[in-house]
Amino acid sequence: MARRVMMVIDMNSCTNCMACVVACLRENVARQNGDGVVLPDDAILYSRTKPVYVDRWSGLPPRTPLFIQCQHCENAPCEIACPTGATYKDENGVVRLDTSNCVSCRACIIACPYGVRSLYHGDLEGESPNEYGLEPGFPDKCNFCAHRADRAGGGRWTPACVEACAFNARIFGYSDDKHIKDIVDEGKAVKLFPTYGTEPKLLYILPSKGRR
Amino acid sequence: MKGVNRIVKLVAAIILLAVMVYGVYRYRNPAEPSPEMAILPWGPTVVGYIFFALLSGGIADSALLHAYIERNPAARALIKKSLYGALAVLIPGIILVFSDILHPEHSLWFYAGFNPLSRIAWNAVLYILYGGFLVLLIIALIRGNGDLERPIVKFLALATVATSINLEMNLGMAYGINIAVPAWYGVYSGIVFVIAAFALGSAWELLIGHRSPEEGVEGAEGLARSYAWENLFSTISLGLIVFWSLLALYSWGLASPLAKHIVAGGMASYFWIGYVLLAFIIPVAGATLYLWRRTDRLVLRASMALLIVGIAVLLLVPFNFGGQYLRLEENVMYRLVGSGIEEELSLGPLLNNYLYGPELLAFIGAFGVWLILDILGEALLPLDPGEKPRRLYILK
Repeated sequence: MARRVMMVIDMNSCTNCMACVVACLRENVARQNGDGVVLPDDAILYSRTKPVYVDRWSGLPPRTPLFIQCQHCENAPCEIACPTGATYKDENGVVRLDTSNCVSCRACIIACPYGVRSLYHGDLEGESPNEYGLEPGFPDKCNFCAHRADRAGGGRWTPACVEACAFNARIFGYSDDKHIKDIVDEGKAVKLFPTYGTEPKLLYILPSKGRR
Repeated sequence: MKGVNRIVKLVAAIILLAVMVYGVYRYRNPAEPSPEMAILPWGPTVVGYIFFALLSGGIADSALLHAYIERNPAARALIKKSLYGALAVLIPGIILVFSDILHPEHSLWFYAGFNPLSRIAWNAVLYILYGGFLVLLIIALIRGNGDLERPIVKFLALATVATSINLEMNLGMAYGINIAVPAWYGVYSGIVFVIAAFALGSAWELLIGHRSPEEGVEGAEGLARSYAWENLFSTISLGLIVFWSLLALYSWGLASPLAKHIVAGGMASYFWIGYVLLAFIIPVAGATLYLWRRTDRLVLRASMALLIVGIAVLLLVPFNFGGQYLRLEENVMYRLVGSGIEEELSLGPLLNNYLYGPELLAFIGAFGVWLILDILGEALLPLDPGEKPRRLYILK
């Protein structure tokens, strides 16, 4: 298998300050028009990383806060459900959407077992903030800030949410990077619903008991 | 009288088409963005194209089975009319597909980027195959003066039945693609849709089909009885499978919230009145009375109209809305954090906004397309028994 990028969210370091959400909205959703910044109503629904309360997972107490986003599954149900191949995995294993051949049948939104894809149905003034930013009428998703990857020209890049995190709660890199490999090999990080067999590339370090 | 009927039909068709255009326009250009599309991506337009495909498949399958297997003389005489009726309800379904997808300008990618793992991709292929075989079969029958024994007609009839049943099955299986929602019928949905197609097809033929004895077709009353038997069996079978799937949902921990919502929760009125009463008790009673007591066809026709409405309600609420609602509200392990959003996304407001919006108008208005095609078919095509084409290969 080719090299894969991964993200780990350390729930012990996360303070729920929402800087990642703001950074994602600014980077991928917010538009400029003549008067200022335009954001969709209920913008939180369209952030590619969303704050949620966990109700039942691995024995965590109810209403544990967590950030949910595309898990970049190796066996991505949304890619399987997509009739036209518009949802695909790129050379880094990032699950992406090609809007040029998406018919917007929304099967990908239905198929995602993590419920992370969403569609903005309405008009938004102004230009998209980047070439892969939120486009109304398409099933949007996190792409680990693929526009930054393009600009890096095959080199390393840092997604906006990782850059914005002041507490280094978001760790991003290739699966064979030492700091990522150590976390995975030591079993510190867990996958969301591993029984689905989706093989997510986004992992969580669960809060230690004192942090709950 | 025929002229007056045609004018009434035309006026109704124009009104319905206006309703459809308004519904599609408002759906595609919402007055204000709503978070519902983020939560419930499949609305009544999706149910609309499923409903019309099931109805069409049911009409074609039933007509061909009565003609070839039962060898009913009236079914054989009326086969062109029945099959054209199936085509006339398939086309509104196909129009609803293109109304529903938000980027129809990319629709060639269904074929150019065909993903064989995707059930939606197979739907795109099966709609075209079924529609194509149906059109060719109608042309072959018109050219051959309704002769069902020509090898090409037999081949096309077999291909039509095979593709329509596959389409019905695949439309059902497209629900079940979310591995986190075991409640979303999954394995049941394919067979439920095939049986629903037979119930819809036979009900439509009894309601709309031209099989009254007064039309002068030999054996028409016998054919109506055959259709009534078919409808009775398919309606009871559908009821048994729906009942069985609800029982299975109850016994499956993760799935039980959906069963509770359907039977005694926010969707209960749609289930008990919309489905059980309209699509089970009344049509079973109507068909039974007709078959045993030989009651008037009017009672049977009324019960068949209610059956068609009831199956639409079953598809709209428990099937389409129920699974999507459960996907986020009950089964997914988290709840969105956001002031004001949680209240907006609770079952009552969501169900009301989902049902009573422009998409339902698009669905209802699509019957106008059927009416227009019905008028055109009657006026232009030699569909009556014994009628032959005189102009331009297939026209009267």
